[in-house]
Amino acid sequence: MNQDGQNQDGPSQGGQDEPWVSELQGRCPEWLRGEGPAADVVLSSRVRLARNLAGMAFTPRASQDDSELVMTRVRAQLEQLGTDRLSIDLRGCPKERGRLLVERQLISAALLAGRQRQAKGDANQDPRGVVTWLGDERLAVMINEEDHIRIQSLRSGFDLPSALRSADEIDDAIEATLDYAFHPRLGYLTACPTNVGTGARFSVMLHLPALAITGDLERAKRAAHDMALAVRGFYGEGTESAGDFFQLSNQTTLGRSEGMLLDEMALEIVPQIIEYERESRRKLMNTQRVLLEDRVHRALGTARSARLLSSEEAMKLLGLIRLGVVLRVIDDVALPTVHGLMLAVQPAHLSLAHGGELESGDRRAARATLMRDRMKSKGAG
Amino acid sequence: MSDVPDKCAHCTKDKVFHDLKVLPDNTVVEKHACEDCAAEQGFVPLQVGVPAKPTSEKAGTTARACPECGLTFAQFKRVGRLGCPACYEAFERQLTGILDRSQEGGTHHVGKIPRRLLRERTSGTGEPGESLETLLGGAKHRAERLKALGEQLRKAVEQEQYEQAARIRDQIRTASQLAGGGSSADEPGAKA
Repeated sequence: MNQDGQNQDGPSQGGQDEPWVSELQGRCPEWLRGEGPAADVVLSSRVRLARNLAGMAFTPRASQDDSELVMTRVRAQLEQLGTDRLSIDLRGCPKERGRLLVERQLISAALLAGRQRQAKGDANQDPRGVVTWLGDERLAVMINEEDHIRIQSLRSGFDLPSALRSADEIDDAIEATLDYAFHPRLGYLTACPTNVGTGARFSVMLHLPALAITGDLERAKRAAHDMALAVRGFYGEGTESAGDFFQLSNQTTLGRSEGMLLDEMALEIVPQIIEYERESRRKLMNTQRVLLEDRVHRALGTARSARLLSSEEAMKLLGLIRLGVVLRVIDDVALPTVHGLMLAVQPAHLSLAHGGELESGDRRAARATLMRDRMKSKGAG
Repeated sequence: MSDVPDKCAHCTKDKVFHDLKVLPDNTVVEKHACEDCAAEQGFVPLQVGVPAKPTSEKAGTTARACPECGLTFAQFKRVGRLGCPACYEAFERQLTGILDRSQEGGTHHVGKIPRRLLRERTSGTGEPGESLETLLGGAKHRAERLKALGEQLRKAVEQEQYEQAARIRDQIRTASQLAGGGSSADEPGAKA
């Protein structure tokens, strides 16, 4: 399959007339399967590479024509790669469909909004898009984000090396015909100097509910800060961490190679936090088992009976249920079901499942209904 | 300094600075404005806090716009994004502090090098006139890169981070090969 998701009918209702919409929103992506190393604590691992084409203005200062040229060149290069490719032009993409991509972490909210270019005019007409692969979603290439090219590679569990390999391959494939902006001393040049050098950002999504219960979470977060890591919520920059999900990322990109940065995360910092969380879980199970079981089962009870749920409450419930599943306190819910719901309860997923936009009140009811349905039996999802 | 007025040209404040603005066609206009008005109108303060002496030398170094895209450093400070690859050279001096703070003292890239370019330039099959040096830098850059890696190795050993030290040692080996014009296609960043 090779689809071009460019919208032909103007920015109207987000319906299911594009096959990729129903295909994406009905599935739990590969990187949220709950498999892979240390999956009890680590949901997913991500590597992002920022690249720019040589001799052209970075996106914020690019003209419409420059951006158009970048789109054409990068998409043409990616066209030669793999089957099941899904190439989406975000110009005029209906709102809900675009949000679906944001909720699935295939694109950033900024790319959807199209406000990277500083030139005046209709931001929605800025040439920008994403290329991903259906039936996988572990790889996505954003075009004309703050940098011309942003390669993102995701893996389930704690598996940064595999994510880096895959990002590295697609990077080589793009560079096979396109020249990157590269400086002898500074490496890959990026619109923001904080990304210059490797242009690489390594992130892991951690689930730290036991540290939250024992009150040691702040200490773990401070330790991460001290080790120059950025700590964010599930949906990235500026988001709350409902459900006790935290994203840890390196901030340094210059003076250390990709391998060195990866080692710092993979061998030193993250394993310590994983062990800290596991130790807290063991302690809770040994000394406060009833308290833990009570919290987890109350969450499951609410998920199985609530009639109205806000997005934040849903995430909190899912966080506790997830803890119950990995500790085998809950034995009739599968991990992919919980992970799938973390996406499915988000606004665009809910709206598209209902064939159009939902008002906030209706959405809360739809969210609760979905939660009840999926939590009914093992493996449903 | 009789030619510098003592009032801001835009408001009534009497603390006046000598400011410059670079127009899209790269011409420079001079204004005398207070710090607030200068920032608001995208002027580059020649020397914040000190009434300026309008010497052309200073004007040249501080208010220079990127020759490729016309971005001024004041504009960069406002938006936090550079305009094009050439901005890194144009604002090299001003960016040093920013990079130092955000990159934990990292000054030299020691990671992946675009593989096709490296291959072409080591084998001489690329565009004529594009030497390996334009990709990796001259001897000075390479020596500095090795020095920075050596410093990292020392720290890693000091802190008993032996796996990290081994990784840095590999990096030094690769950097040394490249510095000597070796044709290692097994370049940094390839390992995972």
